[in-house]
Amino acid sequence: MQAQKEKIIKSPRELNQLKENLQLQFQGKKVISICAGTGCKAYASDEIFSIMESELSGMQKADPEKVKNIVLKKTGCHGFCENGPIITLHPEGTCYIKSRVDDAKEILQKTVDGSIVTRLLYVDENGTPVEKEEDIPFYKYQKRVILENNSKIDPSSIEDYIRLGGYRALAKVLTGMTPEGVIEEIKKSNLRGRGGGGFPAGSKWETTKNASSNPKYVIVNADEGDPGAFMDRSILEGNPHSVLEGLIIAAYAIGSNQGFVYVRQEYPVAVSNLSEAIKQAEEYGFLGQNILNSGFEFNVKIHRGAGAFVSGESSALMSAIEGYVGEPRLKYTHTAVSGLWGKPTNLNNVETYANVPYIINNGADWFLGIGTKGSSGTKIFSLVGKVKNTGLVEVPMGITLRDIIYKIGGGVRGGKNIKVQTGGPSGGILPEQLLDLPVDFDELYKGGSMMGSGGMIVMDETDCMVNIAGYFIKFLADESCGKCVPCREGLRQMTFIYDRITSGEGTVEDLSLLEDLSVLLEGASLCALGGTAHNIVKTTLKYFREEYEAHIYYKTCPAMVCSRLTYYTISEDKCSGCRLCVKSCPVNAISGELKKPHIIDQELCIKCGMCIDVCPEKFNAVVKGTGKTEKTRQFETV
Amino acid sequence: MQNVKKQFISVGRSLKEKQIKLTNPRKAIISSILESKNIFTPEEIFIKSVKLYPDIGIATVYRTIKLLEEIKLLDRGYRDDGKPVYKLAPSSQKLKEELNFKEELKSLENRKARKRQKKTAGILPVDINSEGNDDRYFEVKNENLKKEIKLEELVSDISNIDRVILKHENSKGNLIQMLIDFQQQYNWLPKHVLFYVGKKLDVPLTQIYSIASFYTFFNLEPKGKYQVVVCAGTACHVRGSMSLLQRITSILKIKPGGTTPDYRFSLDTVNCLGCCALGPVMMFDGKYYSNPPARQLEKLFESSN
Repeated sequence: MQAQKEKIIKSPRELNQLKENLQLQFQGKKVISICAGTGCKAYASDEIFSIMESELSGMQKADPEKVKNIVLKKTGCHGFCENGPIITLHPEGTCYIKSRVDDAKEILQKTVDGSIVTRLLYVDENGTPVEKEEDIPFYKYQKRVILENNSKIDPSSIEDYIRLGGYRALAKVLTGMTPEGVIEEIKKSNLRGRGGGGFPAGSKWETTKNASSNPKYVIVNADEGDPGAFMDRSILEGNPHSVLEGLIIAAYAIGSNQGFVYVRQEYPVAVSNLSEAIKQAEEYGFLGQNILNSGFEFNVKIHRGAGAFVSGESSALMSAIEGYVGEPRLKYTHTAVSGLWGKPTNLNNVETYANVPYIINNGADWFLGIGTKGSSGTKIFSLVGKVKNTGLVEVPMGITLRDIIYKIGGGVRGGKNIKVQTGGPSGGILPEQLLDLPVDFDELYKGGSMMGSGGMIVMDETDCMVNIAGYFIKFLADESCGKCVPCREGLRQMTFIYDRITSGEGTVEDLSLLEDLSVLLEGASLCALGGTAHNIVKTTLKYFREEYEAHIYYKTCPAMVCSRLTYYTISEDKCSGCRLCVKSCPVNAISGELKKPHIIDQELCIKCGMCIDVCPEKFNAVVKGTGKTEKTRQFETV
Repeated sequence: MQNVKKQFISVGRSLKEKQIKLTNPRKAIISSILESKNIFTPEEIFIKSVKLYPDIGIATVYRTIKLLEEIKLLDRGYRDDGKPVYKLAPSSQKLKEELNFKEELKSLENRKARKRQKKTAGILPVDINSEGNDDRYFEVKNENLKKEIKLEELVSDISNIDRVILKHENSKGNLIQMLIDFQQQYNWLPKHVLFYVGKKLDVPLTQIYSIASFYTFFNLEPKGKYQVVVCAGTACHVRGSMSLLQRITSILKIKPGGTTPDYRFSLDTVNCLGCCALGPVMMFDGKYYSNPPARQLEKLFESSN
């Protein structure tokens, strides 16, 4: 208990002293930071870490002097998931990609010796290895503010965060700024909600602050349910203290003493890192009573969500924290005035809070200097799909989609007919001709899509837009809580329509029916889940109507995705009769003897595509075609 | 044959004793039941009874079957996909002769014939051994019962439940948090836990059930020892998660959301596992696998006991 009390920091001066002490201790250290994000973990980054750890302890016994400056760190997501596991050396900035378990010892040995492992470096288009992280195109065109520290911080260590200037903003706010001053600064910076809505955070804080009743609450929305998005997860897993600091500042500005973090139970690492961070912040006196001797009291509780997409909606999330089913409520009064238990409640996204300490430290003008006039600052996207470099990217607002995909993402695998889906299930799909659209809350909205929380899924000519739209509608129909009729029934009917179209039974009336339904959903739904479902339908109908028409009129799927409109055949001339496909077929639909052409029984075929995968490249005998009847099979392509 | 028939109870008498009217639709349904194979679904009965009595509706069939189940003439079991199936309940009461409604119904159009038939109504043309003796559906039901907890275990379990409740400060607001903990401990939400929590926190059971059935994380039925989770997020979807799912379903022979009969594997899909770079991705026993081929899956499942 005594030891804990000693840790408590009572003034900005003490904080600064601690920071300097930590920096001094850290001087001359060489850090090997190994990414332990989910993507890299799947590539056994944990094992690499433990091998290095045991190796290092062995070296310490043999020659302590030689390795005294080597520090191993397991950090949060570095972002470059495509080439995981990522290992970065600090302070040099050397970045190793695709390291395997066998490379662990070599990396450690070479780092101790002061040399580098050239074969693990990133190789650019011209074939030259790139040593420094900042020179890799993936990182070069990003502007990493929030993610910057992800590779330098061990998320389970508050000392790392303090050493890099953490909780300085909190000290500044508590000792030198009034709550009004904080709100003014945030308003001036034009920080807009990163959860997707883009509502100015400062105004929201002000409304909550000015609401008459007490107590007030602040909530972090970390119920990141968008498929294909993992920004919030990476921040919470990699740098939980930055979110906590932002939350405490917001609480001070608003006048709240109780905060909640609503985080998905599916993110166990985020939950444990955050709990650890809260414990440490309490030990250091950044949470609890009389924070930094200012008299301000604040506590945080974690609330785990149990897997419901709709619970990310503000009023639904508050219902869930109250212990009820997470269904949205009617919002006659805004949750900022009457939210959790009917009290004024401020709810922001993880990324919004993570931005706050930077704005306080660097000033609103610095923040305004990044991005566009309407949308300042940076935005984190999870760049996934058919793009070459998938991963987590942080870019200044106003960058074009083309730049993100080509400069950072390194282009698209297929390369033809590129489409981008932004905004998760609430957003839309943008065609290739709109790729020069700047990424900005208002511009994307004009294009028919939206910023959303930051999922960016790149697709190419092998993706059927009708199928994707149907996928999203089905997703929303599954996730609809069923409280309001337009959403519950409207989405259900839409899934039926998409089912019809993708199985070649759609009619031209179905298209106008889809349009009608999306207008209805937009106007009559209780919350944004149904209210934004029209985006996907409208944008696909607007930009890719010919794909719908191909499904309806010609009963073909141009991208050859919709399984009920595709078929596989074996070309008699090419087939050598190797029986590879016969063995691999899960439903035994392929028959044929050795050295004789095989035949696929179309009745039995489930169109899994195994045969086309196993057919050796030199034969390429399996042909995929599209069309429903013999008549339409003339449209077939390979 | 005669023995089997004798095992049946007199439907007519039972109904009379319970003061239940034997209307024509009911007669049609009962004779369809008696005519059908060993195990049947309400839908099958409906199809048969429509032929006997065209005005009948499916709702009537459901109601009548429920009624017959209530008066213990039918047993209910569950098929693998969760649909209820029925069979005639074995009973010691004697079979009565008045049960051949089929003939009676046939002659509805002809009143004279009908009267004649009534007098000469014979023994029911029932052959319960006609098709497949499929008792396994009813075994599954028993399997489920086995999973229900015993009294001694229940007592020792209660202190554990209390601990979790205490951890969450006995507060109604933390109900979801408690349920998450229970789900993680038991792998499902057993009935007794929900009852106990409801009583302890003074929360109506309906509210607990509404929460438990709303969130995808909670299961009201026991789950398998190993969880197979397939990511169905957009990034994985465009990279072919559907064919991965198809591979798994064809190996494990269960649909998403299902559990193998031996409670070894459960298959589920999630919206995003958060490692889109690896897609299509599958999580098995806490480990991630990037687009595993069928062979690897088979090996993986075989080696997990």
